[in-house]
Amino acid sequence: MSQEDITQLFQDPDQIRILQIFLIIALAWLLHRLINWLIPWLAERLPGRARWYLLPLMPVLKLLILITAIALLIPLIIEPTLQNMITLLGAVGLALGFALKDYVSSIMAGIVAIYERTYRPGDWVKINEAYGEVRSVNLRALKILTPEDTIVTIPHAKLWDTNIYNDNNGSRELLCVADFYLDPRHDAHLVREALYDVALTSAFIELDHSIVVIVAEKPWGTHYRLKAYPMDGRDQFLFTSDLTVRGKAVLATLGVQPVQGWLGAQSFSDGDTKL
Amino acid sequence: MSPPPEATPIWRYIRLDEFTCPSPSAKETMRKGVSGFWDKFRRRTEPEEPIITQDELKRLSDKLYAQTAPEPDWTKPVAALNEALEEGLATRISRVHILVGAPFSGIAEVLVNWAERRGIKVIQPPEPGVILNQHQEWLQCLRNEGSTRSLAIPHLERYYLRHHHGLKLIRQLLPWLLNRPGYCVLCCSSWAWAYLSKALQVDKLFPAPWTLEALNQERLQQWFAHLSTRQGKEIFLFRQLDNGAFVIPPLDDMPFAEKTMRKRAAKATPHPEVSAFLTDLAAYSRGNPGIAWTLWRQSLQMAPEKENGTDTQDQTPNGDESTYGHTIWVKPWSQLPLPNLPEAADRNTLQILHTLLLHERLPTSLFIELLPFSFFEARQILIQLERCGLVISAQDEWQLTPLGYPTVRQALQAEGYLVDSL
Repeated sequence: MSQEDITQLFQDPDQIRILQIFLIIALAWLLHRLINWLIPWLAERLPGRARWYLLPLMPVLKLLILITAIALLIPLIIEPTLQNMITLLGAVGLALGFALKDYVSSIMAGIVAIYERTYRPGDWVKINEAYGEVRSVNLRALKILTPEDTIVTIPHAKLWDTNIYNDNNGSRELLCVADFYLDPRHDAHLVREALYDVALTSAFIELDHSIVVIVAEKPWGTHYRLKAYPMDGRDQFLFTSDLTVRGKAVLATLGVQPVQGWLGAQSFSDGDTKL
Repeated sequence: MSPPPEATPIWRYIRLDEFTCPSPSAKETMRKGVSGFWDKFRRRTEPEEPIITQDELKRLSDKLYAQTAPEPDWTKPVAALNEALEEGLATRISRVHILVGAPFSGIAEVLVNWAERRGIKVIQPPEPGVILNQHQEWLQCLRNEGSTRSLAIPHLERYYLRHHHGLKLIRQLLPWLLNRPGYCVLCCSSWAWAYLSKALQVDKLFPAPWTLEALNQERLQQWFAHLSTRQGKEIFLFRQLDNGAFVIPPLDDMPFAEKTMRKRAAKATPHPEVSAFLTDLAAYSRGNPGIAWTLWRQSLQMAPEKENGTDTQDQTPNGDESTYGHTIWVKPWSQLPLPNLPEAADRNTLQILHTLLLHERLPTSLFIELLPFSFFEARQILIQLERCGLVISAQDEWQLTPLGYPTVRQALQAEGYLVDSL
């Protein structure tokens, strides 16, 4: 592409409306900031359920602003002919392919994530070693708040080659599991009923979902998994703790002992995830 | 002048799934929407003071309260209950009948009155300790009453606790009641019924429950008029303080009514003749008689002479002391001070309120059994709620106040808690 061709691509410098371009960029930036502030602010003030509808709107709105701004800017900077557009896209594609490959890959993955709803603000996700609540989905990366109150920023590009575990997938509730490792010498029927009632009477329970007690016999003892949903996914750790504390109390009244010794402790690590 | 409202009976029992809540007036819906939205963003809770201490001015004397809005007489709806249960008996679908009522609706009191009139034994609930310790003696004593004897159980919500040891008794009691040949009427709080329906599917065990039909504007008007004339000595006019509209239209035969109406017509007042107060009251209280009655009493006041302006003459229309009619002024609905949740209301606060509603009333010592926080924390929250006028403690038992109930119900519903259907 000769220098003359490139200069033909752009509008006559005298005709480029600098002020208009500046205004579009400024307005897009302001709207972006406004969304970053307004939607979390609204979500905090409106009842709990509204949070699950509002927060996922953030990335969609931001993307709309970006696309609208670019669509408005392009005709102001270049002559909007077919030839010019092809030339521009080719040049931009070449530049991005070499210089900003990862960045663009993340942006593309972000668009896919928005479209496929892989994760939304408010979801509880696990990506590699990070587990937490998605606090924001930006153009390049998402931010996760872990239970240890640490923000982890993960580029969307992870979407291409990493498994993403989403616990609640846009809904308010998510499944929680409390584990009990018991000495096998007990009446399993009684224990299962008792653990069921522990979940049924929790102050956190969401009763629209079923409660399940899974029992598995292991070489070291009996493994119980009490599965239930709390009303709000944010209460998952409190809920699991409540199930565990009250579960232990009820097991103590039944005279059921936890599995003892080194053998049992060693066996937990290899057998539990297979349930 | 409106005719005496005698057309519809005040009390009527309907099936639970037929229950509909009265709607508010359009003006109130608009006001509530706008101000509620605005308050939310300002993070403001309107009444800073608890409602109980706000009534330092212009309150009615106790005597006047007793004359204008005396305690509801729960023997009145007995005939309606009898009619509903007779219908159930005639169909012979089941020997067990369920009544479900919202807190403060008086439905349990009506059942007790009904049972006493018919000579049916009323069963008293067990102590919480009996439920938690899973003692069998209590149930055995009940079984000893005999399987053919008719029974009335007015507070089913006190036969369980939301605790891992608190469901055994009710799990044994309900099938026994269902299988015995004797007739039985159970009455349950709507909150406990909602929980038991989800947790134990009790709604699938029994035929559709009965409930008291919501008191709409028309029924409230009839009821309050009836309450104020029950004493039979004096007649009262109920008018709205801001515009003088009649909250309860006077009857034609009132000696001073015609004059009052004529005077208002002469002034060509632009305000409506009948206020929308009772429509809004019916909607806010969800047609619940106990709550509507409490709010009604809160709204009544005697205005000082100077505030009455020219209308003071209405109070002594004929100058005849023997037919002296009091004008009772009703605060406009928008000015009624209603309790709000404290600004710092968090998950623990809502859990305490929800637990209270599920069990109707609880001693402080039980909160630590039923909730995952300490005695100190529970007590602190309860005291804070008491200051806001949302809960009250009597004989070491906590329960919601009728004024606080609608606020609490709205808050729990907004946060996704299990709520009742009434």
